[in-house]
Order: sequence, then C-alpha cells, then structure tokens
Amino acid sequence: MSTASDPTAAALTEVRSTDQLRTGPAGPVLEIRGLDIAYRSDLGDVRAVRGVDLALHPGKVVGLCGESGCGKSTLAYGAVRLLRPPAIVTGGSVVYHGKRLEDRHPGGFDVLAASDAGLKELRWREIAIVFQSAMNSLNPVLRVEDQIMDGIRAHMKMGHEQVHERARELIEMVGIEPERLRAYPHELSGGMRQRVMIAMALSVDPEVVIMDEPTTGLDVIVQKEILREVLELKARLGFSVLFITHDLSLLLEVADQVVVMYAGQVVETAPTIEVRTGGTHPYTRGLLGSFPRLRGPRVQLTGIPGAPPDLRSTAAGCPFQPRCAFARDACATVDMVLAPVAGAAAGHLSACPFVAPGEPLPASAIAINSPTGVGSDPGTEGSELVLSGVDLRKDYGGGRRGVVSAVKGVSLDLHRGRVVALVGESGSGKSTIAKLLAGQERRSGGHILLDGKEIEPSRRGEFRRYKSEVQMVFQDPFASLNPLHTVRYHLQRALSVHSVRTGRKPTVTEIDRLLDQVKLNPVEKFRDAYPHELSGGQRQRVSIARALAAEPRVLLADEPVSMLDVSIRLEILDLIAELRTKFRLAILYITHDIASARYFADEILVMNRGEIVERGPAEALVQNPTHPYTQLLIASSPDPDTFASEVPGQAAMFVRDGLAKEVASE
Amino acid sequence: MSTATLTPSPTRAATIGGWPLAFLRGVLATWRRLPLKAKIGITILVLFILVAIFGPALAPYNPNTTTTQSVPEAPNIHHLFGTDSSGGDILSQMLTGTRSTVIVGLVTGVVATILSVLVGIAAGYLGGYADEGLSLFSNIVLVLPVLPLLIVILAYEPHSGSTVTIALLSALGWPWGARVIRAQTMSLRNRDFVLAAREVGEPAWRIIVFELMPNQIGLIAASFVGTVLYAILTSVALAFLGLTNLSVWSLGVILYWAQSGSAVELGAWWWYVFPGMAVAFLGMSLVLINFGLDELSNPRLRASRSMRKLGRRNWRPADPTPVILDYAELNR
Repeated sequence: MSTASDPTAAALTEVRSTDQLRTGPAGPVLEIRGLDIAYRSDLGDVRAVRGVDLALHPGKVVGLCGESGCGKSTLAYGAVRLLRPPAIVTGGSVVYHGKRLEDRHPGGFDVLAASDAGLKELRWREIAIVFQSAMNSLNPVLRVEDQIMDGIRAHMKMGHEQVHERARELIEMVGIEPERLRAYPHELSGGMRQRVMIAMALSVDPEVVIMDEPTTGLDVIVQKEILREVLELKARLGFSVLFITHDLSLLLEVADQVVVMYAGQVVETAPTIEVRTGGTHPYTRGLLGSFPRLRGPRVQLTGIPGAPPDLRSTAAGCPFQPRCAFARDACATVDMVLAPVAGAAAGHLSACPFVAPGEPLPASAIAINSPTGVGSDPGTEGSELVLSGVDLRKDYGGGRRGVVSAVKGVSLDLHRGRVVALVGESGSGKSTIAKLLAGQERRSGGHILLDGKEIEPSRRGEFRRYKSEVQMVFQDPFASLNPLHTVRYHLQRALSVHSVRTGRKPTVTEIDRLLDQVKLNPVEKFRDAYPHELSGGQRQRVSIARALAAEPRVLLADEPVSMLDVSIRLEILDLIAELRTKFRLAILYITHDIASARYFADEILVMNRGEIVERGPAEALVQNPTHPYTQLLIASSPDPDTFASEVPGQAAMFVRDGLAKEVASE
Repeated sequence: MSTATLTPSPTRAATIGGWPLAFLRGVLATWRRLPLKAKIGITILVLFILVAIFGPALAPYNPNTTTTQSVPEAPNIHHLFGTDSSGGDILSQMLTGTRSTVIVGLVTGVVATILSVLVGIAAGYLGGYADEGLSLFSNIVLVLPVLPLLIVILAYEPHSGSTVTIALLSALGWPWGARVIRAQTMSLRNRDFVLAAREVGEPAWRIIVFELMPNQIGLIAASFVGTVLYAILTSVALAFLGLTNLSVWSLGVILYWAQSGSAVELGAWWWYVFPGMAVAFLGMSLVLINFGLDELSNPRLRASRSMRKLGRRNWRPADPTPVILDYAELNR
C-alpha cells in the first residue's frame, strides 16, 4: 500500500488497535437476500427494488451502480430502514453480522425484524452513511466541531475532553488541519465538507460505511484525493464500504465487487477485474461503452439508446429488452435470473442467459460513432470565423471585499462547422465565458467580434439580432424549460421572436420540423407534452430545438450533458455533432470532462483559475499534455482502460498514482 | 425515473365534449385535489358570496323597519336572530349587510393584490435602483400604523361610505404581498428557464407576464386571500367605530348599533353574537383557504403531517421503513 509515505500514517495506526476481531473469517458482514422494496402510489406500486441479493464482506468495497431511478439508493437506504413511508419493504431479509453485536445476536442482527431502539443501536454505530450532498447534510449554523462531537456523544459515553480529542483525531485522519474544526460548513470547500462527512461517518468506528455518491459534484482532482483517502482509511480501520454511484468507471477504480442494477434488479455482479475486461450483461457493456476514454486509441462508443422502463409495470420478461442490442424474441418471456457466467471467475453472475462474455456487439448496435472521425482536426482552413472573444475579462464584486476576477483575459475563436471545447473545473470561469459570449452578462473588459465586427451583445438594441446568430444550450434540462409551458409553447415563442429574419412562421409544421431535427419522434407525442412528462434527455433535445429555432450560426453548449445519465449522454452529443455538420454550426462545448472533449471537439482549451493554460488540437493535447495542470487533470480522470500493472486486492486507482503525485509536487 | 411515459394531463384529456364540459371537468379535477381545509374554506366563502348576492332579496323584513317597541326582542319564530332595540330584524340586517362587507373585502383584495404584484415583480425583476426605490417605498407604507391613520383620515369624512374605505385599505394593504412576491421573483429571475427565455430574445414584459407570473400564482392567490381577510376585518373594525356611512348596512354597522344601543348591558346577546359570528366565519373561511393553498403549493406540508396507513397500522414519517412481508395483507 502506498500509505507508508503518508504523513498521517503513524497517527492512523494508533486509532482502533482494539479491534483484533476485524481479521475474522470471511463471512459477509452485511447480507441482503431477495430484498423487495416498493413505493405505494395512487397509480400503482412502484417496485423500486426487486429480489436483490447482495453480500458485503469485511474489508471489501462493493460498488453499486446504475442509471438514476434504477433503485441503487433505495436498496441501500432500505437495507438500513431509513426510507420513509410510502416506501415499504415487501420481502426478503437483511442480516448484519457485526462483531460487536455477536454476543447478543448470535445468528446475526435481523434488520427487518428490528425495533426502533434496535435500529438506533445499528445505525451510525455499526452502519454509517456518507450522504451525497455534504452541503445539505451539514448544519450551516453549527461549527464543524460541534457536529462531529454531537455524533460521538450520541453513541458513546465519553467525557467532554475525550470527545474533543476524538474529534481532533478524526479531522486529522481525513486530512484537514485541526484548526478548521472551528469553521462553519460554508467556510470549507466542497471537498473539505465531504471529508468532514467521512470523518463523521467514521466517528464511532462503524463496520460498514454506505457511501451514496460521495464525490458527485466534486472536481475530478478532488474526487481522486478523497477516494484515495477512503481506501487508505479502509485498509487501516478495516471497515467495509457499500459504494453507490452512477459512474461505473469510478467503481472500476475503487471497488472489489461491482453490482450493476437496472430497473430495480441486479443484472450483473462480478469481481471488478472481470468487468474491466468488458462485462457480460448487455447493459453493463452498454454502460462501459458509454464512457469516452482518455488513454489509448480512440475506441468506438456505443451508448444505450432509449429510456428505462416504468417500474409500475408488472410485465414479464427482461426489462432491458427494449434498449438491448442483443434482444431476441425469447427476452420478452424469460424472467431475469442471476446465473453464474460460464467460464468466468466465481462470484460473477449475469442475468442474461443469452449473451456470453466477449460476444461481439451486433452490427446494428454501433449506432453512435465517435463524432468527428478518428483524431483528425480538420483545421480552420476553409471554414470562416464567426465569433471571437478577444482578451475577455470579467470581475465580480468590488467594494470592501475586493474584486474577484473570474475571467482574466481569455481569447478564443469559433469557426463554422468546428467544435471548440473549453475544459476546466468548477470555478475556473468556463461558464462565465459562455455567459459573456451569450450576452447574458456584461463583460468587464475585452472585445466580442461577430464576423470581424465588434459588437456589444448585452446592449438593448443589439441583443435580439445577436441572439439570432448566437444561441446557448443550458446545463440543466430540468430547469431550463418553464414547467408550466408545453413544448409547443417553447418552440412557438422561439420561432416567432425570430420569424422576421428566418422567414419561418410559428406554425405546427415548423414546430414539427424542429422536433424532427432533434429526433423527437413521433412529433405528435411530444408537441403538446409538458416538461415534467419528458425524460432528461428529451428535455435537453427540446432545449436544443429551441436554440435552433433562431437558425443561429453559433451554439454555446454549457455542460449540455453533465446532468444526464451516462447512457444517454452520447446520444445528445451525437445529436449536437450531427447538427454541427448539417448546419455548419460553430460550437463552443463547455465541459469538466476532458475525456468527452477528446471525443467531441476539434480543439481543446484547458482553463484554470480564469486563464487558458493550454490549447491545441484535441487528440494531440490529450495524448501529450504539456502544462502540469492538464497533466494532473488527465491523471485524475477515472479511466477504465489503464490497469496494466494490476495488483490483485489493490484498488486500481493507486496504479497511476506515480504520475499524479509527480505532477502535484511540481 | 421513467418520465418518458406520456400520461395525458387532465386538461388535455378533456378536449372531448366541448369547452364548457372540459372546463367543468377541470374544475372538478382541481376540487378533488384540494386539501380538506381548502374545501371547507371555499364552501363557507361561497355561501357568504351567495348571501351577498341574494341576501337583500331574501331578507324577510326591511332591515330599517322600526317599531314602537324599545326593548330588543330575543330570537323567536318571527325573528330567528332576534331584533334590535327599535325592532329591526337582525337576520334581515345581516342578509342585507353581508353584501357591503364582502364587496369591501373582495375589491380591496383585487386592487391591493394588483398593486403588490406590480411593485413586487418590478422590484424583483428589474433589481438595482428600481428595486431599492420600490422596496424603500413599500417598507415605508408597511410601517405606517394603519388603524390610527385610517381613523384620522376617515374622521374628516365620517360618513363617506365604502368607496373611501376601499381606496384607503387598498393603498395601505399591498406592501406585505409585494415583499413576498419580490423575494419569489428574485429567486425565479435567475432560474434557467428565465435566462433561456432571454436567450430566445423574449422582451422583458413577456418574461414577466408569461414566465414569472404563472410560476407564482399560488403566492399571488395566497396574498389575495390574506388581503381580503385584512380588508374585511379592518372595515368591520372601522364601521364598529362608526367611521363609515352608517345608513348602509354592513356587518360592522350592525355591531356599531349593537354597541351604541348598549346590547351588552341589556343582555341582548343575539344583537352582537350573530353578526360577530358571521365575521368570524368569513375570516375563518379565508384563513382555511390560505392554509389549503399553502399545503397545495408545498406538498411536504401534506406528506409530513399526515400519518400514512399501510398494512394494519399508521406510520409516522420518523418511523423506520415499514416491513410488510405479506403483500396480500398490504393490499387489503
């Protein structure tokens, strides 16, 4: 383990030396069998979890992944009975085999039969949870210290001094200076808050830690640091982790066993190493095929078209069948049953009886290709320059608190038919650039040139004309459509505002044409739908259609897929790429995900702290990053493909550590 | 979650059968979704409005009738709510007087709500100096002591009638609503769909009317109901003090006569209890509607309060996840 070099290593060994029992035999510490969980609703029960088996062994990390709504969080919270009515556990068993509870509960602690008091003994003390959003889980008006100490006092009888000492110990353990104990949550960065959550979870030394998307919303560099710490602590303290995430590529780095869920059921469970080589179930393979890779040659991406099924339906057959590339007639009648995969390691089960590991995808499945062709930058010759930002600056604040410069002199050119990716972490100023170029915000300095002529987009008279050339697609498709208006209204308005210039009247025919362009077919089904009736991907298509109504030449896409499920991101990017070719759009693609920029863009600009630190043709930049920040960014991104020096029993993310540490020390 | 399934919304499903039927169905569907409190409140309010419309026609006596008697008559078969000291029928006075009280309430509600929406949305959406100015103005109006001010102004014109009352109550009753609507507008202003509407090139007035306002209709309705309540209570209080045209019947005027006729000393409880209860019921109906609107717009209020019956017992929100392994029992 690489922890030997860790400065806190010595301190860590002193913690919990009494737990010699942790090294006991390898029975599972948490065993879930045939768990069924339903949500009662007036329109029929939503069967969110159906017959799930899961075993968490001591000291292991089990990763649970799947699209949103697949039941992964319901499973985890239901297993410790934290779900509120109308959620009901309707079947199965959950047994916890904790060392400390062995005397009183010889056959294991039956969670489903436990009383309110019994559960209090179990939760936090035995099974702790790290919640997804640290900002919402920490009380904003209490100091971090008090919150940690409250948790300890609730479960352990200790004097004030001891509790205080323990809090110090915990905060140091997760890599925060003890002085920060006096801080309020808002004074800490997102990463630090998440570390505090982890410290709180570990405060009374639980045997199982459930981590629900612990790093979602954090930047990749911070994410990696935190995950590394979790794994080091796990090795030292010996707890087990149930790690919930939508990001399969992350699991491949941290988990020992991967459990993939779809529509409330487990479709595949396998030792991580077997999933790295491609997985077996078509859904797992679809998920793996949805991640753009950073290293190695560009591989073809497949994605998973379509949307998950309605969990109220009780229809027989495989729920994945409508989206499956391997689907055959038998799928409609055969219920999914997990069965060992022939020729694979023990513990590798798949719910698909038809597809064997390594079976090539049918030709029909390769619907989504890498949009721009392999690694070729068409260059800027022959494509005229439309929009450029010269030395753009944006300052916020002023007055007592001083000025914060979000953007410090950024220049970029957008050519027709070309995609420029602006890559950076949160707070790097990349979204501010989009807002400046869109005219949503007034810039503090610099120039915006449209067709070589200087323009002031936010000026009253010019704004609408500018909008007919430069349109923006927003990040959050759930927020960017007015919930009270139909799709028809949204498109009608966009058409009618620009009808003088485009010559297109806001008629049904025109609305249908727009819907067809973004592949919302059949159009009748979507025309009069309200946003809440659409999935995230469909909403984002409506947003794109609305932007296209003005027939713009420039499209600013601010993280257009980051709020969407992994499986449908590719579809949306593919759509934007297709429109780019069709209308010769100049596209600015803003993202935190450099791997997707590699696939989608011709040119990449890497941004850090308001400045562009490196720019170049996409493929060349990713292959040979020169700036240390770019190198760190690439090294921190999870990537399913680099497991060359795999050591059994050791999480893959340590393998690349050499590189990351080298860069960080520069 | 599978949001892809397109469930037809009630409004669209109702296109068969022409618009009056569709409208009725829509009303019925909305009614069913209302919390019990709102249903009770609306029922009482509708009763009062019906009385306001048809009451004068239904009154068994002329409310101004005076007889030679000088003692109030207790409720009896001829005068269900009794009479005042000069023989006027209290029931008839109430049936006649409800109209003016309800009108003052509703008209003030409409005028003051329009003012608060205009000021609130303008301040919230425009921001900057416009916001500073409008906020300052509404805060000044807010801290004016309403009742003393009204008394002073109405004392100049003691028998001025309801028009002046309405005008004054409207002029003083809008700032609360304006503050709430301003706050809501400010939070909506930065929502993506408003930015997206700007991105489309929509003019500001369209953004305000078609994007911002429909999204705070619940708030506007609540502010309207609150203002109506305020107007009714205040106008009753003013009439009770005699600061209105006493020759026009209203619930407050009955109370004024009861007070000046020494109803309490005479033990004529019916003289003030019935009109007093009418005011109380009218106020209660509005409060209930407001609570109901609150619950409607904030589902969490509903979910957290109501115990849920699943299987054999009720579950509180703080209970651990129910385990009901017998699915058949659950569906019983």
